[in-house]
Amino acid sequence: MNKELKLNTIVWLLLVTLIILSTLFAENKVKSAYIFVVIFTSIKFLAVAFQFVEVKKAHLLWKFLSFLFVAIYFIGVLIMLN
Amino acid sequence: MKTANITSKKTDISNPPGGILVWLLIILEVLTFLIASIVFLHYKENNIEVFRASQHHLNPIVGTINTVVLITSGYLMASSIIYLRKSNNKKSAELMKYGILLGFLFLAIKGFEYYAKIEIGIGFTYNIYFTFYWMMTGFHFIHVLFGIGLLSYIYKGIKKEKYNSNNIFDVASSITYWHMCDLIWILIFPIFYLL
Repeated sequence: MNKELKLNTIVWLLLVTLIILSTLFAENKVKSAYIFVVIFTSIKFLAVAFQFVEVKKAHLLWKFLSFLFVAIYFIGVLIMLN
Repeated sequence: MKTANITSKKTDISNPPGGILVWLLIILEVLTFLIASIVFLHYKENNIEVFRASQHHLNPIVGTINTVVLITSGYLMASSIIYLRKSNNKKSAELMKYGILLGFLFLAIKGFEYYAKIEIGIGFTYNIYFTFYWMMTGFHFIHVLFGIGLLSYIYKGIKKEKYNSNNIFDVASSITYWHMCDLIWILIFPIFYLL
């Protein structure tokens, strides 16, 4: 299998795992579940952007922008929930 | 020499994956949904009881299944373009077809959820939580619907070999648009269903 196809499959499995874990943590009222949910959401966003959208092959500006979006979300949500 | 040119074009600031226009759209859309999510959580701070009670009307399992459906669709689209680059139009079209079908499934599940809400009288003006819910998930729904239309057109082009490894720009732009729908959903799913 092509290296990129293999990577896509690995990232897809990671994404599905994180989606399920987020729900399990939130539903079972795990202590500080919201922090895990926000961290998992940030990882999912970056995984889709870098692997599926192929930001990893793009100019540094687009990589920075992807991290900036995640930073705004991460900080914004944590401030609002605290 | 040719390889060097391609490499420099790939990392060119004005040439992000899918093209600059779709990226300007991504910036605007993601920022809009980001701000809306933070404003939603700000209102939650002041209406915590209303928000907690409203969240019970949403089923997180259904939301989770729908998220997996949309992400799987994105995965198939991302793999579809790799096959197109390898000039394998048949496999590329096949993966895109399944990706589009999963897009329809996402809308069907969302439509079912909307119907259940409307049936018990939970509309746009029911309370502040559902005003945000209808507005944000509704806009996302329209984006996915538009994406399905766009990718159906691209799918036909791949099947007819209008698009190939040398003519891939429209395909890349459309698939990038589809991933934007993934990215937006990744941000808003936990806001409404989990947090």
